[in-house]
Amino acid sequence: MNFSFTDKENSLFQEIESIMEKEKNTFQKDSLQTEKDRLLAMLSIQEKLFSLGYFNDYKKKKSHGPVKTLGMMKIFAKHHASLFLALEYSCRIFSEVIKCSSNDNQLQKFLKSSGIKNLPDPKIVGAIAYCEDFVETDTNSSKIKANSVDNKIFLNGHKQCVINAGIANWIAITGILNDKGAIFFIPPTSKGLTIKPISNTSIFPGLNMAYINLENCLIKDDHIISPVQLDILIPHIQSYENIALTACALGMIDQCVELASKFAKKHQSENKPMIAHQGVAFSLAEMLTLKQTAELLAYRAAWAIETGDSEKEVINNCAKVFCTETLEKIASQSMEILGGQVFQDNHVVEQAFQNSKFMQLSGTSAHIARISIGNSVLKLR
Amino acid sequence: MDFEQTKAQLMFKKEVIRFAKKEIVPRVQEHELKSEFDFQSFRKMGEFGLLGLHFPEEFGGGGADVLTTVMAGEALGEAGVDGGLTLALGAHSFLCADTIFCHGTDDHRKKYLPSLISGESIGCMGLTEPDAGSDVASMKTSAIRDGDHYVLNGSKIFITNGPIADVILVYAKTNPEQQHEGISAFIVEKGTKGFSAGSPLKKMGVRTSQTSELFFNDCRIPAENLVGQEGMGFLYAMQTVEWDRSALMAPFLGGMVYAMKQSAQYANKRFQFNRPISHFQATKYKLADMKIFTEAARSLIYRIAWCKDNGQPVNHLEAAVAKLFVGDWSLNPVNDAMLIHGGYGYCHEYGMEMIFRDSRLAPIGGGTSDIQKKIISKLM
Repeated sequence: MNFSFTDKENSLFQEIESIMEKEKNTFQKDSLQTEKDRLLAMLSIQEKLFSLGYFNDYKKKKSHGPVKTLGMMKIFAKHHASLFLALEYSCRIFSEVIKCSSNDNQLQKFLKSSGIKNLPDPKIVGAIAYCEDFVETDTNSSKIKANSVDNKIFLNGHKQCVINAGIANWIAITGILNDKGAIFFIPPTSKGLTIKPISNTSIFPGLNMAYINLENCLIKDDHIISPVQLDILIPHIQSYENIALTACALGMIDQCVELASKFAKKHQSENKPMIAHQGVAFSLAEMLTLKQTAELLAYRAAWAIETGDSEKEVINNCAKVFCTETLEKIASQSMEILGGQVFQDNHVVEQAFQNSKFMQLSGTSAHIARISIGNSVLKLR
Repeated sequence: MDFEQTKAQLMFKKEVIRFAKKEIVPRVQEHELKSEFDFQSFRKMGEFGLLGLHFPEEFGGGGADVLTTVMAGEALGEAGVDGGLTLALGAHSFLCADTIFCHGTDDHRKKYLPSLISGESIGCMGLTEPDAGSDVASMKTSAIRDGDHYVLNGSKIFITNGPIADVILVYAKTNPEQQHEGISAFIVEKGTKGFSAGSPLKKMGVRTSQTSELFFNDCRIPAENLVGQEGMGFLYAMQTVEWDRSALMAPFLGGMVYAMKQSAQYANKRFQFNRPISHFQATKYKLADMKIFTEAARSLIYRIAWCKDNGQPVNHLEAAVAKLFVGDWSLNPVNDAMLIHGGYGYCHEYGMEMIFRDSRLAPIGGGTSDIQKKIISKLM
């Protein structure tokens, strides 16, 4: 056993930290107002992190591995949760969708015609559209169906919660072709595609989330990967989402605890720092306890993937549920300490509180994860 | 980071579970109902090597590392051993024997450790007083030097193994004017004139452990019974905290795993509305929360053991975090285990109500949850 990181690992984390420090100006709210701002920021950071091997598939041997990658992700998420998640979907998860192709010929044809040079490609922003009513839990019931007319393939239907939709170079859409699972790749300028950004939401505003509607949208032959087993692909995507969401929760937890703690030490109440009041001090102690517990559980889950532990799936579900629910508790306690200021200017702690619910529902939802964990305890699988 | 346990550690854990299921668990209910200490099981644990796992072999110990010791504690809980017996083991081995081993003289070690490790004699630690619980420095028990002797006066309360202990490691003030710096540690043997133990206290849980008051009335002990140096007692007592928050918490964790497994087994067998209750999502939810708790708590406890094994000073913050989490956050999962068992969970026979009662000591013993919060917030 070893509960510490090596000097080499710590210096890698330091490198990520210094990249994030240098990007501080980019992360300012005012610098990321428009979709174009966010796109430029994503491409810039994507390229810098790429050179560190940050986006290498952590399940592969020639990578940093899940534990170190989780450590790096946590640092990024602490600095800018929205951009962090946007990049996870754009790079890591988008690549996984493409790599799911069992037909190498189809894969090469798509890569050639799309201009994607590497998997992942730091110059490409990707989006994945798999979410529609019931599809997260019933993976084979997609209502997105391709019709063939005069040897041309058209796509109809709609998807929801598509991250990066408005800024992506390519959107990967899961659906059905000839009664079999398929992935359709379309550029955002495709005729028949409507992207409707989710408005009036303060949840992860930097994620560029949108509904997409497809009406007789023409799909080129070499932009289709089929057949694909959606009941395998979607849980595979979710396993990557879960780690990203867990890391994101850890980063935001870190920030909530840090901000509340700093404020409680600095802010005076009844002629003494707030932390000198037992109610505040004990609340901070609870927050720190949950933070450390969440971190250890998340690292243990990452380690389980790294070593191929037989319980990796169940432990990762445990980590995702615990970390995202802990974020809600910690953000709530942090808000109580920080007081009214959290309701001004999209305060990061208020954002964390609101985002926590999104994170509990995204990937494998807390409900489905609990059922899966329960089944594993009951040996009912 | 590496969360791997060695094959030897995992095999030993299995062995402890097998031993406990065969030798101890069949006797638990009987003793728990009568609130009796199980001397036979205690001695069997000594024979198996569980009372001195981490002590050097020259004293009869197993020479094991701390993590293995912690895993053994977890294994006892996981096998279904009651919290009373594991608490007695903890007070005996970690709070009494370990302090003698770490701070006593060679003569102390030779004289007391072999019989403590074998289980022939039983140890306890006397620290808490009626008016000095978390506030240790306000203890009133005094030890005044008188020639070649110390004379002890005062009383202790809530002392695990108090009524049955042969070797009492007691903390008293050698300088009553001072606070922490005035506290020293002593060995008092059962039968010493002026020493007596009260009747066992009636407790909510951990009933097989015998807990009582200790009384010292002009109790004269030889000066060589001083453990370590005068005035260092508070430090020695605080060093046992590392054990409190790892090895002593491990059986609670094991108990949760036991409760979870029993609940799963029960849920698969219990039919209601023509199907096993395990098929209801509400049952799965409860089991999932129990699993999440055990996985989260395990790494916290193992981390303390790992620090001790690697000669790293145990970070008081991390130790307090582990204790606070196990103590405070264990209420819901253990309650869920009772709820899955329904009416049977409320009855003694199924063991769930015992685990529920035993688990309620976790946020109190070895420093209450509020004290942990105080420590954590001070170190933040």
